[in-house]
Amino acid sequence: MREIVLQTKRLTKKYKNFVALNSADMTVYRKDIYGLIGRNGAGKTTLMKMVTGLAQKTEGDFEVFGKNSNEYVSEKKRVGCLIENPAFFPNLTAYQNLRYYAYQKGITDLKQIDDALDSVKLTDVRNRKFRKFSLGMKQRLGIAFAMLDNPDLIILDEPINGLDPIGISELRDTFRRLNEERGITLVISSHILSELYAVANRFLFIDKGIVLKEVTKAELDFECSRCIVVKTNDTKRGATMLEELLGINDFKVIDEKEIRIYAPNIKSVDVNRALVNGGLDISEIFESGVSLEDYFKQLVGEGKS
Amino acid sequence: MINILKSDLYRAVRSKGFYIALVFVLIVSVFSAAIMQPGIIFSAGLQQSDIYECLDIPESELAKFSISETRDYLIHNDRYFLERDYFSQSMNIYYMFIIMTVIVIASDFSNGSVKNTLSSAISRRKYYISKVGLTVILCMLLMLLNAVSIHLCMRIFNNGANILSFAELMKIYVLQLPVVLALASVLSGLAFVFRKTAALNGVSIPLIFCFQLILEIFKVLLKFDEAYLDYELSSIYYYMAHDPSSSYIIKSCLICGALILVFNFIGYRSFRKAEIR
Repeated sequence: MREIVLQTKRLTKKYKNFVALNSADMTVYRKDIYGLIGRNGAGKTTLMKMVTGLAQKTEGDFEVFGKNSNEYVSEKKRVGCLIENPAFFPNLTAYQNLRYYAYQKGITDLKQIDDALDSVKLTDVRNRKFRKFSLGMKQRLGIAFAMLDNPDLIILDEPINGLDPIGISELRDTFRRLNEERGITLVISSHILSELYAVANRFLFIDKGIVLKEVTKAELDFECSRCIVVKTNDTKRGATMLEELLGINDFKVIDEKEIRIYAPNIKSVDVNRALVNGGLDISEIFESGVSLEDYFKQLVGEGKS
Repeated sequence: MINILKSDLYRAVRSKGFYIALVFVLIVSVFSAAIMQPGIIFSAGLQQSDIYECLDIPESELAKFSISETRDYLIHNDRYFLERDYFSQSMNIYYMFIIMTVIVIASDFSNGSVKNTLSSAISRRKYYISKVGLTVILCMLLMLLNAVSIHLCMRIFNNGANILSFAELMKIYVLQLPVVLALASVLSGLAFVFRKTAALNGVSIPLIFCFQLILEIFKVLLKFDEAYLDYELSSIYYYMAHDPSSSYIIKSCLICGALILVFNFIGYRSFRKAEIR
């Protein structure tokens, strides 16, 4: 069984009458790159803030490395974070800022600072003051900070904000390298699904403070792939007929009214004819296949209802 | 906790405000020794300078003297000790304490860098204790620099005329420490309540004026017993430099202790569960 690094259980945050996060459940396993997807104001940052101790939970609980929110302080050193915008001291250089945090974390091997700066390609500007950094450079320094002291879990809130396409690509490589070579678990939030899709292996969709879905990349691919959607009142009989009449095994019963057929080289006309001839009532049949963005829109739409 | 103290010290010595405070203290002590009067910019509080209690001539006569004549007169006045007067009048060093509080606490909140510390390094309790601790240490060091610099300036500019012994100097320093600790605690507490540099400055700069104004209003309107004014912070600061009685020291320490407890309680309570933005 895979080791759980971070788990939330019915985690809730309320601000007076406003519910910023409502009973969120999520599970992050060791070596995951976990993507937190949602629109602006969906509750991603609130969730991250609670997990990192920057905001108090209203209800529910969370566990980090098996320690609950009350015991978690001892495990803080194993977590690297960048929450909201990267914030450092403007009058200090990139190196001095990291040196400051190295002191805080009790890091004596100063080579770690150089390694962190090197891994985000900031070595050349290590002696430049933070206030003179571009937004992209600030983001990268924030990631270097999160990587300091070789944490086991890195939590990054919108890390690709402000980065140019090359910067995003380099960052993606950095995430993969950290994950594959050092075995670091990453939790990354973004409202850009395609970017997260390129790097994460598990996803949590969140909207208006409500967790919509937690899926693996394989499940996401599966749900976004081309399929024939059959709407009927008797999905059990429909499934049997698909197997027996058409010899199709590659399908999924979504709920009591919907079956999705993923088998290639099969036409909706043939499926319709076979099922109707077999005596099944079909209310609707159509071909579907959605992009990631459309998939997310559909989920958000479901969330509304 | 030692780690965060080290890190903040590393950062403090790289900020301009830190050196501005040090240079300001040095300039005022040089200026004071040069004119043989407490640097007027450091005067605050309800008490007046010792000069007027040591005069052999009418006060109006002294007003006619030039700066150098006043200096010569005071150097040769055996009853007047500039250092003692300087210590008792230097309540405005409080404004240098604000700089230290801003450097250590408020700038961390204003820059948002507090998030980095609290999310991945240490607990809020340790953070609070370390920050208040460092603010207090820096304020105490600033006071020490103030004491040593005026002593050295007296030796350099006035050939050690009417100088206090080092033991007497340290005695005043130690007696004034409760006030320093109380002021540092008040400022730290306010910094954790307001959590932004501009808000802290807006509250802490007029704080002493407001406090004194309220006391004066009480005194005038409610026929307040004037003896209570001796326990106003700037008065305590003044009297601690003038061989106070044991009972006065004890009462003053209790008042300072109460302020330390109250403001740290308010500061920590406000910070403990606050959302960090």
